[in-house]
Amino acid sequence: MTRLKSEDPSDETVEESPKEKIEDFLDENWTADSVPALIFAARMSRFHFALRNLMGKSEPRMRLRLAVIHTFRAKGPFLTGHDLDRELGWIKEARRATIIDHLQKTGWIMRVDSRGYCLTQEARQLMRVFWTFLGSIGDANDGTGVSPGTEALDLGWALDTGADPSEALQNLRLELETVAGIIEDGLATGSIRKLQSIRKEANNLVANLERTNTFLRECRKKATLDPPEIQDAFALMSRVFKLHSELERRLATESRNMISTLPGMSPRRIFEFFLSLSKDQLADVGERFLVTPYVPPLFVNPERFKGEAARFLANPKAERQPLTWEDPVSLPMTSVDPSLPLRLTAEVETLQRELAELAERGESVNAPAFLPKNTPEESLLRLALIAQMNCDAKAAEVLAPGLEVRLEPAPDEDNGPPPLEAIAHGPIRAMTPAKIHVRKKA
Amino acid sequence: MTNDASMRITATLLRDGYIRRRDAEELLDEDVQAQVRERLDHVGLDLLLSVHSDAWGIIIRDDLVRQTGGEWITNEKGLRRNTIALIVILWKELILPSRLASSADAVVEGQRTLDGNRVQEDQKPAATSLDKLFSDYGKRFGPKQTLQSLLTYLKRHNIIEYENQNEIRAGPLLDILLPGPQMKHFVESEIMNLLNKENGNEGGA
Repeated sequence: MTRLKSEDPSDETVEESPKEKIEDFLDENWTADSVPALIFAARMSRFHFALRNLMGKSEPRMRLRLAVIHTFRAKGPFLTGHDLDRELGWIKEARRATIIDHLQKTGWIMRVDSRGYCLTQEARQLMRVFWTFLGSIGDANDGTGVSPGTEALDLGWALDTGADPSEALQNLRLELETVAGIIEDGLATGSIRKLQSIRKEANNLVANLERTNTFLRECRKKATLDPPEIQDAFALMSRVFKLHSELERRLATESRNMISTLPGMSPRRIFEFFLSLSKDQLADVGERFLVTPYVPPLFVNPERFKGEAARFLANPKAERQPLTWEDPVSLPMTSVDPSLPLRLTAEVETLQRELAELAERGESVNAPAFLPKNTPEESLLRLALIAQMNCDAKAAEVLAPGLEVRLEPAPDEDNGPPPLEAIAHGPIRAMTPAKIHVRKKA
Repeated sequence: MTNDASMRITATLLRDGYIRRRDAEELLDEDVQAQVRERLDHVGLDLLLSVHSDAWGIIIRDDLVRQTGGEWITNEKGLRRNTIALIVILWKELILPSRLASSADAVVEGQRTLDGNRVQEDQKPAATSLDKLFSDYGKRFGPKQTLQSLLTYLKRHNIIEYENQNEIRAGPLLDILLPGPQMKHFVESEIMNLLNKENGNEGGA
């Protein structure tokens, strides 16, 4: 099994000066084709600290490598040399060759039958984990043109490389169910913005469903999968098609219901105009136009008063409860009120317990040894929480009360991640060359 | 009789900050309206009405705003900027649709009279929900809980109304607080500016 290696010291060519790096980066032939790849790379590069050992310490270089990986996910699974020339024409040829070579050496992509390249299973797994994480923080699927539908490509990848397609089919079914759920949620919410953003995803997925269909037929022909499993996948596809049609219908109805007053001033324009305003700009508009009303003092909480009155009228014989005087809720305090119950998942509770044990023993631990847990998602959650506690005192107070948690990146010389035994945690191990210090607060 | 009506209406206005049209039909009478204005004027207030709103409100007279402790917006008992931003968003969600609809109707039916009851009769008032607001604009306000708290605050001040936050409607003060014609003109002119810029860019290219 291929391992994702940390950056090779003999990476690429002679080390360039920072100025040359920036000039090189700016000198690429950016085109409209490269935009989705660059958006993807920009989003992923927020994990630069975590990816630096895998993808390079120079951010421009890392972005280009991520953009190449994006192309494999979006256009793959299998790309020939000719495909690469076409899809990555916006990167200079010499640099493209160097990047492909580097990604191959470090285990991100592999050659298949001398015909071309595809992502390795580990690379695809790592990207999936990142994608799940981005999705969980509500930051995925905005104009990147990837995500849904790529599982279908994984199935194609399995067929192309002769790997077992069962896992890819499971992932595909999971993805179809997830997207169906997202569309259903969106339809229930009725938010135009949400429906529009889902539409992008859904269109992307539906565009890929044709390929999924082909792959499933091929699987059925080659008898590589159980017929009931394939039948299930077909049923899910049909459900997604129906939901997609409903989504389109709803958006069309919304547009019909909207009334425009001036030529070009469609409700969509109005909506986009308001969306384009920041909170400060909105407040400026408000301050410019708001009149100064007379606001009667709030002596009693009117809601409470109305509630009591309604109860009394409904049941006049009942004993009357005295009205209580309540101060208005202090808004800024409400959002950070420590007395509000916090619902923690089992994974977070496990992390809290382990941090408390570390503090008890007064030990510091290597992040690559401490973070990996049962699943890649849990490992990434632990990484994210530790990183959050490291930079946000309030988060630390909530998640690890009474403890001081510090994440200290290891110096560059210490960039040799431990051997990767369980590949599921390989990326997490490799990406966090850091020490975690936990101690009790004085 | 006129005196009684004006006293009752003024008292309600001072107690609640607003009075519903249906509770103050006498205000359409010029004499009653003049008396109410006079009573309010004695304490530095003025009567405020939006044609489309179903309530009358009162404002502090422009010339007295600063003398009475500055604008309420910056007053510590008043609204903070994120609340103001939310009011603008709520105006767009809950009031603007009826403005646009009434503009379209006006082409056919002519200008509406001051008695805007008809708008209320034949149109279901616009509604929104916490989920929709959070989904569309949530990132500006931080966590959902913050948005929820702001909505509770606005409800307490009669700017919005709801039984639960799945169906939020305009309260009696929302339409009065932001003068509709000016806001509508602002939105239209800003969007037309953007369109002109886009057209200019396309023409230039």
